[in-house]
Amino acid sequence: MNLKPLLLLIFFLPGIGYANNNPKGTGIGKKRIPKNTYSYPTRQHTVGETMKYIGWMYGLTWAVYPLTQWNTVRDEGSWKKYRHNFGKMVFDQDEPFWNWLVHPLSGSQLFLYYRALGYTRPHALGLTFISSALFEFTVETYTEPASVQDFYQTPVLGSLLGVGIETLSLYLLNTGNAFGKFFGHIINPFSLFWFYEGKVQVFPTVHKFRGKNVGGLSIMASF
Amino acid sequence: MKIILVLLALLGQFNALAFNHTGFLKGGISTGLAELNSLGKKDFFMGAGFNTHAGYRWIDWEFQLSSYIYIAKMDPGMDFESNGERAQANGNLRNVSFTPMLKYLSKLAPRKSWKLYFSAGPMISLQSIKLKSFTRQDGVQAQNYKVTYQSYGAALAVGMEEITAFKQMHPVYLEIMYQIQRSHKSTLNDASSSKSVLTIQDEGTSKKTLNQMIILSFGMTVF
Repeated sequence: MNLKPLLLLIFFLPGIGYANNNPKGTGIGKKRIPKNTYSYPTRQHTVGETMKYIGWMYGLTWAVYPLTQWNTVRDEGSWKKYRHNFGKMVFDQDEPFWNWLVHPLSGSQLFLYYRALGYTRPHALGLTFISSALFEFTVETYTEPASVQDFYQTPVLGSLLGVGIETLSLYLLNTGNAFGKFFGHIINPFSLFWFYEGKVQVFPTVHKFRGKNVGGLSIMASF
Repeated sequence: MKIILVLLALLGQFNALAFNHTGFLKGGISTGLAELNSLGKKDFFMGAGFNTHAGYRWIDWEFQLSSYIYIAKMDPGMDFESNGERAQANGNLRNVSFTPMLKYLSKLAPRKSWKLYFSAGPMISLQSIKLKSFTRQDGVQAQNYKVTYQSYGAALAVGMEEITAFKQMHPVYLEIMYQIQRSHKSTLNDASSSKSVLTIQDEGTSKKTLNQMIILSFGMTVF
């Protein structure tokens, strides 16, 4: 058995560790300063603003539903069925794949959409309930009646999952490295949109105040 | 004067953060015992699952939509009748219940900074039972079928919840719940695909069964 590569690896590993702790030399060990800081600031919204955001999401669901479930819409949907299903609510017979995975995943993205717009977590939960109910009662009725499980589980399990995704994505995005930023945005795509209010640039400043040099932080956010 | 202003501002902030007059989302794990009645005999199943609650707290009162998901392994299996056919089930029993609940946080404190609470509400639920062997009416021996029962009932719970200064401290709760439910509709489904379920027969339950459950839950306020 050739132990040469293993011995070389053992020999070099402590060296790599030393280089990592040594700021001198080629730049290894320098602190990474993220260009942007990601967070979820919250603010008050007017009723008109909230209606507008609900309306955007409602319009989007009309487009996303046939795009993501074209076969179901084509094979099982009709306007006759829509009239028949409208206003009905039943227990669906779906398997956990749909009720405990797909619907909570879509609910989590609804939750993160409202969080990106600056709503608090309880408000985002309430708005996720509204958006989800609008989808259940007026969009999905094209193929099937509204479901009791989806009405509850999409916003509630979705918000629980949304809190987890939010925390993980902030951690990844604030690492400042390419891997963290890539996966942070993948799991939380609304952090990429122009309406996301939590992306800010923070940098230290020194300015004169009453004749003295005072340190501070400048925060830049775009809207 | 400055100190008083700072104190007043802090007090106002604490009041805004206090866990009252606010929406919430709670979640946790559950375990319990289910008693199912079929063909004149009682079967008991131990299982586990999770619980979620979304609602609003005033000061001593809460209104919440609660869901308890409970999965139990049916071993030994359970014999029962569906659509005039005798069948045996020894897969999993899944019980999903939804309860709008009114909850009262009493002044009774079994431990320091914990309060005893009582909650009750009507309940709708769906029990899904996987069938190991089942003879269809056309004589074909089938597998991967499931029978679902829709039930109405009521739930009553007593528990204790941690009283914390702020919701952000994620108060914990421990609860014992009694559920009683009567089935009113059964459905036979082909569940061979995890993505789509085909309903074979849909009928009212001629023999309404009365089922009971005791569920112990442990969880916390997420936000």
